[in-house]
Amino acid sequence: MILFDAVSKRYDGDQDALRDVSMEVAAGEFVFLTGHSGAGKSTILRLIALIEHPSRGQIVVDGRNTARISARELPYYRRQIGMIFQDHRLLPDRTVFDNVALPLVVAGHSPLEISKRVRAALDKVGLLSKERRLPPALSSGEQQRVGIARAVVNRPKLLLADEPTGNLDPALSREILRLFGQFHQVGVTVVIATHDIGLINQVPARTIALRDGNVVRDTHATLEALP
Amino acid sequence: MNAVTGARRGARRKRSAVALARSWLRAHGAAAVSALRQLRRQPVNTTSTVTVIALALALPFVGYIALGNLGSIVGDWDRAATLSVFVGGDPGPDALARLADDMQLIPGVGGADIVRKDAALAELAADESFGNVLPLLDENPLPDLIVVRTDAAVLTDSQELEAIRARIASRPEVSAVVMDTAWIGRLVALMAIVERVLVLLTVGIGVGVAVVVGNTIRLNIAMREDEIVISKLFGATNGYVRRPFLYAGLWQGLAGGLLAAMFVVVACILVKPGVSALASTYGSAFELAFPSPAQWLGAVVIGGALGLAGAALSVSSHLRHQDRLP
Ligand SMILES: Nc1ncnc2c1ncn2[C@@H]1O[C@H](COP(=O)(O)OP(=O)(O)O)[C@@H](O)[C@H]1O
Ligand SMILES: [Mg+2]
Repeated sequence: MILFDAVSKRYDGDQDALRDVSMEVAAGEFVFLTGHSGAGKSTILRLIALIEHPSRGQIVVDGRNTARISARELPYYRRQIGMIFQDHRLLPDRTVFDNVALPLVVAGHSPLEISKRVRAALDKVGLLSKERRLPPALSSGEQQRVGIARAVVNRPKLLLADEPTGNLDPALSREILRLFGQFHQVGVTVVIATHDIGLINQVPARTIALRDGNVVRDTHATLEALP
Repeated sequence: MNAVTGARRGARRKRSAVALARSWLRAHGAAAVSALRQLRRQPVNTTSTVTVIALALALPFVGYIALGNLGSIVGDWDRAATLSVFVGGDPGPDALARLADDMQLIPGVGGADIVRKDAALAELAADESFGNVLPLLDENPLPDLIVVRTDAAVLTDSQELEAIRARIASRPEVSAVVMDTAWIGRLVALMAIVERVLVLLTVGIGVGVAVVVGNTIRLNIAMREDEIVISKLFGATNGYVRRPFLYAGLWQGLAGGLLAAMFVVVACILVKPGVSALASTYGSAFELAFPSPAQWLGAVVIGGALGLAGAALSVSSHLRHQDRLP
């Protein structure tokens, strides 16, 4: 699903955020990206989502060399990827429903289809009763679940989550992790960037550890079971 | 087999064309409505932008209305200039007739009519206000007069008109030449200049309107930056992101054009009595013409086009930067 071949990334003028990273994530895998703050976890996710471009090396996602994806094709490429952010990135002046509907609206689905799928996604994260609320009226854990509903509403092949449990207490973190496990079980490839060791230890999932832009450890452990 | 699959493929293509048309309509409808909502959310900004557009467009609009009205006044006139040629001394009818014939031979002259001083005096005597005074005079004080009419084309050509005047004045019998209608020629020439200035003014104001709209759209883009970035992260195309802003520009331009036409009508209503009073002092029943339906439509279309152009410029220069950023 994801192939990094000798990828380096240097932001303007700075030192390398990633150095010669090579790794492969198979379709349907569940992977943690770990490492200290500034190790390059977010950079890897941004490169996969084509928010950034590698300075050197090649990235292949779902069989496509990302360097060959034109600006025109980019939106369609991104519709196959669901993204989740630590700070949720919800639109505060839109209802929960409208926030979750966004990926379907931009893809031009019919209102009927949109309402059906949004309700299904909200039901999945247990927030169907709060579809008319505005995000600021929700708790941080609820906001994160709205973000997850938005990420999966378009049934992406790939889920990228950047510190999804960063602001949450352990119980809520477990709850979020359980959701990711469910998506993984229906065949979605899940990549979670986190420095939360407690979270990683809950799941015997493959872990790729980064330090200063280098891959320092890759457990390659296959996932046996999720809580 | 082949026919069946072909038919099936044809049906599929047809269905997808319908689906495409439907999603196109949906996308534009949604963008148009979302633009309206966005404008309504900032009533002060929207109102001031629309008013500025309207005032800016009303300016050249008033110019065109004034020009059109002047044109209709001038158009009512016989398009030939007339010169009053006063003949000194007492040449007698034959010499006067010969003089008139000579004048007809001058290039550019269309006709020459003789008004004998006797006839002029008789006409004056018939007028009550002069009738009582005339018997006091023992001699006819009026000169003989030849009224020379030029060809129509001469009217706006001041050089040719001047040449005709000079040739007539050079005759020793002629004591004075007065051009009665030279002012119309000057007015027509002036109107041609004013019209050209108006075109330039319109272009300049058009650019100004586009810039004003572009600037409000730029502010809107900045205000909705988060939404744009997030939409793009979840697969919004550039077209999807641009559309509401283009519609916002279009709506404001259309509203501005409409309001401009209303301003012009109000201005016409305000000056109409004055114009009618002025015209009546010249013995004219002239009535100020209001903007025609075509001019209303023109104002709205031009406003809309300028709004759309301004928005398009703004969108293409300010949305490019958000292509890759998170
Ligand atoms: N937009 C950016 N511009 C410049 N440097 C950046 C940018 N984003 C990240 N970096 C740098 O790249 C390195 C890796 O950052 P990041 O991928 O965000 O790490 P992590 O997510 O593991 O904390 C850090 O040194 C960070 O300062
Ligand atoms: Mg990070």
